[in-house]
Amino acid sequence: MEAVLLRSRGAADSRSIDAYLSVGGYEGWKKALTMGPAVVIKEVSDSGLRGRGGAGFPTGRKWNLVPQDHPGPRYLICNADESEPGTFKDRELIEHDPHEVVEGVAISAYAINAHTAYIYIRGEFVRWAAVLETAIQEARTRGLLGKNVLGSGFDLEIWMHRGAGSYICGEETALIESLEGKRGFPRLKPPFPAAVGSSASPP
Amino acid sequence: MTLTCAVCGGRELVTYIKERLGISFGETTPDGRFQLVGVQCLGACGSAPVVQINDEYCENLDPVRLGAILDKLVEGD
Repeated sequence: MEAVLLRSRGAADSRSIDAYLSVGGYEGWKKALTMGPAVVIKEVSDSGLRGRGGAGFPTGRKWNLVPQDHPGPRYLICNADESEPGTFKDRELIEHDPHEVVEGVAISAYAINAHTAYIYIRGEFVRWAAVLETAIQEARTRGLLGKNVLGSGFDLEIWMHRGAGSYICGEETALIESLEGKRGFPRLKPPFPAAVGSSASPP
Repeated sequence: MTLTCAVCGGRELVTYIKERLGISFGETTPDGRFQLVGVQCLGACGSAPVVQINDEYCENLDPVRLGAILDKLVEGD
């Protein structure tokens, strides 16, 4: 079986941005920026890509749930809470290929027209939060994040947010509560986070 | 401790820790150097059993390995 997400596992210095760029990293991001969000969503929908949050929710469909006509602001939230017993997928990706995560977050944010993204990472993952922070800074230095990314006119900032040790903060609405500085307590759904998410904006 | 650590020797590790340090969960050693805190899961199921010492993950443990880590910590200070 061909490794796709885990292809860099074992490669020396796989975390550095230069190593990532040398294997075609961020080409997807550069291409996405020229496609327009609707086309990006369609491409991802057609690919059949699904999330790994237990529900296997189709990614393209999730992005389509964000209302087009909402005045914003929009936020993209990446769930790196990794609390489901038996799973350590988030950690593996971050450990070996943090730029892959950063690029994925960037493309996702672009697809839903969000200019601010948060990576919510469980508090115990001290080391991995630092790994991602370094990767984000490297990407920023190369103009892959920040204002007017690569001259595209699209602004994007990615922020790390560490949790404080609660399993339930892996559930999306509890995560959002925690992100807003409140107790990680799930909200009733509907409304769903795509429509009413962080600080009452779509996430 | 949840499932993966439990089936990978977590319980034996807990027995060892309690004997070695002479404390149980929620307690601190009399010299104030070690505090034992039980947590649900550290998200490192591929390398269970796992403990976290301050910010560091210590993985693929058994009493011998953990003993060596604790020895180093005690010496180190």
